Amino acid sequence: MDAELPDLYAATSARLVGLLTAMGGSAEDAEEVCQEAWARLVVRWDRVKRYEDPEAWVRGVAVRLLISRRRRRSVATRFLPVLASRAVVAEPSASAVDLSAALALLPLEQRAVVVLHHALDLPVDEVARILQVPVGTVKSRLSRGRAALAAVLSEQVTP
Amino acid sequence: MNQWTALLERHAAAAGPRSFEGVLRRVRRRRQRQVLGAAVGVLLVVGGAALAAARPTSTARPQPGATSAPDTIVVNGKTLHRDKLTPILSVSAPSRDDHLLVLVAGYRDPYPSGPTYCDPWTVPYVLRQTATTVVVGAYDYLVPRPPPPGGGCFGTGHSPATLTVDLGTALGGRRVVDESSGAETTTIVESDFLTTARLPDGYGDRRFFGGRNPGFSEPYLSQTWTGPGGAELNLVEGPPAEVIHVHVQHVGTAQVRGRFGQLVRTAGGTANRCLRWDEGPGDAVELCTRGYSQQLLTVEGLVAFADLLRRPGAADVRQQAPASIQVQGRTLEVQGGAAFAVGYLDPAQPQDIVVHLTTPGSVGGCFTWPVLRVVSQSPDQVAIGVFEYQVAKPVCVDAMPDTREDAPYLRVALAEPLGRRRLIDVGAGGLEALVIDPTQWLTAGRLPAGYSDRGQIPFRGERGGGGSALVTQTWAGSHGLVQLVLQQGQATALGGDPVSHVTVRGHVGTYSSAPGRTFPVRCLSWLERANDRVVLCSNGGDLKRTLPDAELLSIAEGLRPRTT
Repeated sequence: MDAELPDLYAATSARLVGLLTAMGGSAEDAEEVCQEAWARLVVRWDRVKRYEDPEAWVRGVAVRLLISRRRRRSVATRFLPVLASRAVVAEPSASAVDLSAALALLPLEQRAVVVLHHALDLPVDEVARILQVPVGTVKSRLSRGRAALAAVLSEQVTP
Repeated sequence: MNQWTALLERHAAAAGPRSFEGVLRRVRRRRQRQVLGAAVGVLLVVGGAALAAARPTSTARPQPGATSAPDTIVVNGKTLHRDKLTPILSVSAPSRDDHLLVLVAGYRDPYPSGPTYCDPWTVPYVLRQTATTVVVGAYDYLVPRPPPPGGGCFGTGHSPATLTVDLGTALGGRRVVDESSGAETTTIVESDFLTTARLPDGYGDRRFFGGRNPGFSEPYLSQTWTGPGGAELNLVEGPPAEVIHVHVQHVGTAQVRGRFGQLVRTAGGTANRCLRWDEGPGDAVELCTRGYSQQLLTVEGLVAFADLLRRPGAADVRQQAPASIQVQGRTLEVQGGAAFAVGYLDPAQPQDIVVHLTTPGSVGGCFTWPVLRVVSQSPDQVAIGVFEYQVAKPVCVDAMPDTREDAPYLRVALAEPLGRRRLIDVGAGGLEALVIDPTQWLTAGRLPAGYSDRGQIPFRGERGGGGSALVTQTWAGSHGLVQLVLQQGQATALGGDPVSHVTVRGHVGTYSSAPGRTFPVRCLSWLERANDRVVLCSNGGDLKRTLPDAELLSIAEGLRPRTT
């Protein structure tokens, strides 16, 4: 195993867990999925390390794993609290909480494209590649997701 | 920090990611399960072989329709066995006259060591062809090894492959069927879509994606060119429902290819912009400049690029004009047509049509020399076109001229006045142009001292939203600009937040204010007739002080029909 893997993990895993939490709502789920995605990266590292952005690869795998996992448990997780966190952190701004709460009301598929596109600034075709759905599907989910967010937040959402 | 960044950082800070050792434990457990599974697999294979020895040998039957897909292929020295048909995500063809089809399906990583069980090698085949149908299939080929036990392959972080098949004959109007589903695929014929013959400097490396979502009848095509510093130019054309980039802020409007276009800011870099317009019914286009590069196209560059887009399958506009002309002693060759969108009548020359272009003409460099000519005249309509000419081998310094206000007016004389006939814009693909008769519109009868016409375009017509006609006149003076916007048809915005009301020309008028980007804006608006809205604004100028309300009201009361 390459020595750089632990460093890459240290540098990126919190970011990935943050993204997955924003997308999936459960910190435990996010950490579990992060570990699983990294396990898959480790066994494929010889190939993935040649990629331009290995973090993007593990992020794509993690996002799909999360969606797959949540689909299987959609009924069970539907009513889980969405802002659970285990660590003591600074009080978030009201807008961040509003956004989190509003995001949690979206179906997972819409939430995923909204977070990937708006929070990570990924272009639509990249989101489509990660989620393995057509670009048009991403656009329609974005459109519906934004409309739902706007309705909840009652203001224009800025990226 | 914006809300999205705050959200991610908050969740990242709250996360207590488990250690990397946890990842390694997970990998070790999985490998132990694999070893155990492989041992079980060997037992099963041995047992299966014993059973097979007791049965008559049978030849494996090819899958239905798989008449040209071999059972095995050799890749990088490895013999691969045909597995399953994989869904074809999209099919495209350069044109209906072409015999190549480009399929997006499966996976084919160009790794040097050859395929593995978890990385199939996808091969496309033309399985059947008739006069009406082409049946294609993409097969996954695998190394002949049992799948890893304990959950199959790790990870799925790969993109579909772009694969090409040769039909041997032109596609024509035939439908393409994906053998994996038995259903007709969306076939993107690129020549049906807008494209460009000239890219901005530094742009290239085109990639495209097309498709058709369930519920939408027409396909769409997305083309992306990469430019300096990773800047991207993305052109999406298709049904309006497909051509939706999430926009953050409406920035303004622009005339694009003779159409009413909207300019929006999109997510991502602060300079990301999209132009959106309708090419025709059910045919929307969005052109975006995006990325974090310092060299993104300007809005003017975006408009100029849009004006140069061509539809390959359309009739060649060039054939409707002389192939070459002489200008300033140089021979220029016709390149194509350009949209003019709005034709102005000249009360002093009733047979003339005047058009105003957005870019300057030039007989050298990459700029073109525009010529306005009459293509046809009939009792119902008059077709005129702006044709672009250029030297045979231009020396390009700046391939994307900026839109400039001193761009030329062109004039052409008809055999008789236009009258009630429709004016067709040949360069805009036959779209009906907006005709502005200045005598039908109001103009200022009195202006504050020191105000005068601004530049060469004091009077500008354009198509507004919903097909309405919009005429803007601008005068410059000590308090900045005074702008008169007249709209026939769909009502336009007020020009800020309503503040108070006043009686103007016998109608109830509304004063409104907006901070503006650079200068404060104060407007007075009213309905002159049922569908005729008037918006009169003062923008404050360098003094940052708009004209007093009484002054705006005085200008409004002094408006009169234009006579010239």
